[in-house]
Amino acid sequence: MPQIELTYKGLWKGVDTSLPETDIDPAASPFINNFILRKGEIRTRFACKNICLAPPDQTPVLGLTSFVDANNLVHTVAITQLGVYQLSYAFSGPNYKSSGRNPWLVVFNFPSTQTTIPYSIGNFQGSIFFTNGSPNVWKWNGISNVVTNVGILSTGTCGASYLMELAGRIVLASTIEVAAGVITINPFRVRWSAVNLASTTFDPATNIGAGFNDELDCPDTITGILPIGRTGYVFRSNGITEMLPTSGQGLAFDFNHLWASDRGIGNAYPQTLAGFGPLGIFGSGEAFYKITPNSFDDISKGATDEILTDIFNRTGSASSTILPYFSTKYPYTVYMLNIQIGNDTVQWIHDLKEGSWTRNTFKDKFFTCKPKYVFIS
Amino acid sequence: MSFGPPNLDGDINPPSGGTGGGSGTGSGPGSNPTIDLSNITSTGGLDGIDGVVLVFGKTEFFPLAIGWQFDSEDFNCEEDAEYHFKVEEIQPYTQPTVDKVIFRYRDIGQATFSCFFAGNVLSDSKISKIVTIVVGGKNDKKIYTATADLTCTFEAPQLIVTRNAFDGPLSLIKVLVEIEQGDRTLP
Repeated sequence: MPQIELTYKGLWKGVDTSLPETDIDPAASPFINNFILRKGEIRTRFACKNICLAPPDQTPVLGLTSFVDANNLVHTVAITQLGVYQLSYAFSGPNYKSSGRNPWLVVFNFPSTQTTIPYSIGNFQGSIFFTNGSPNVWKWNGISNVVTNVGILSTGTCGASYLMELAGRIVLASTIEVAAGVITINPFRVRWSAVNLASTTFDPATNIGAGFNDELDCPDTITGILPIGRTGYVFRSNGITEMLPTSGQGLAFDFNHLWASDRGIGNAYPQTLAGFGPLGIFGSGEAFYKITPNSFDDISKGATDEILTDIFNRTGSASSTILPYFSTKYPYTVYMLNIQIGNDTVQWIHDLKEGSWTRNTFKDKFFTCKPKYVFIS
Repeated sequence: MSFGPPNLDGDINPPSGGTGGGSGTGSGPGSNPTIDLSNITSTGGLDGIDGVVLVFGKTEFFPLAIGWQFDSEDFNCEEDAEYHFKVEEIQPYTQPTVDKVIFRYRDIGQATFSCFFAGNVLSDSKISKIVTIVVGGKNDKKIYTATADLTCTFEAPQLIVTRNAFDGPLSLIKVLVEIEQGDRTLP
């Protein structure tokens, strides 16, 4: 009888259920759990280790970032529903981690409880700006002991679900505004500040150049925003609108929807949009897409059904981030999608360099914020 | 540097440049901890030397939220792991016999894993015996070879590799499977 030698080797192509399991590429797999694929290796995934307690107010941590202040010092900031905290310098000291002490220092307590939506955080001009669907845009520069609300209008305050910087302005999308005690939710609205982020507010009456635009020519609501180059992409449930800076009088941005069908390619799951360098990735109703200034590609391919099944089964949020590296010694550029199912987290990893999708599970752990590379010393 | 007793309610901020711990200023669960603004210095913060991938979350059985690190220097993950290779359809209506499985792996520490074949015999789903293999331990990052004596005769065999939680960091480079094709028997 003839002898056959089957060889399986990389580059590994990850989960592929687009064909019967007899017909997929030998480097692909119909099922992966807790293995990652990188540089031709099938490797058990990175360990998930408890390294500290969360900030002590017992509300979920909804935002996490590190930024450099004007004194060139780094602040690692965790934001809950009740307050803003920074990581103590003492955390990197000997025996601190094993001591069980809480390393988070209170910077600021919000005057009222913020929502449970993940914070959208921008880091501009040595300050962080953040908002999460409450009628405030908070700013902290790491130097002052005051966190200020810059979401100011002549009639009240404003905040949003999403925040980015474009053309020297802070841009808010899907806003919530309070005037004379009346709260107005504007899921179609994009609002921007005047140029000069350091001292601006969002009030066109007092800040020339500030303004807003309602995306009323589209049938769906805003689910995310992302700047790539000088173009802002406003993601809707079933479409995308471009916003381009203008140089003339009138509105600071020109808005054009790329498409406006009531069923189409859009950011269907609000927190699945993530950007990195010249690209953004988002989850539409039928696939995951990568958008760059000159391309638009379906990247989920063979793993689409499995990913969307996990999203369908979610009991909490599905949120994503792009991590360029896990440490300075371990570049591993991945789009990481975390889906809460019960008390567990299912994590899909898309390797941006090799194109594969793999699936991890974290039993009895559900994440409340997006994973982030942050400084701890 | 000395440290006080565990304090779950939060420390005060460190002095300028930050070098120490401190006594607690916290309050009870569910309320905002007390702020001592005099302790928040304009230069509080970190040097920005070491970074980690950090995420916060909760578990069902511990009342406090936790910060977890995704540790890229430790691949001995805390969960079971499983990888399914493609199903091999050598030729319809044949039952190929697997003779041997050869693994090429990188030694990133000692790992214990199992491998077996799933397949069909007379339209019934079957699995082979499960072979447990221990590899590595030198942690020299070099590539080595391990063999599994795994014999089975299945239609459409599929190699499956599993590793139990905390059973070591496993890094497979290549897998070779020696098979005798078998005679074709048309119905």
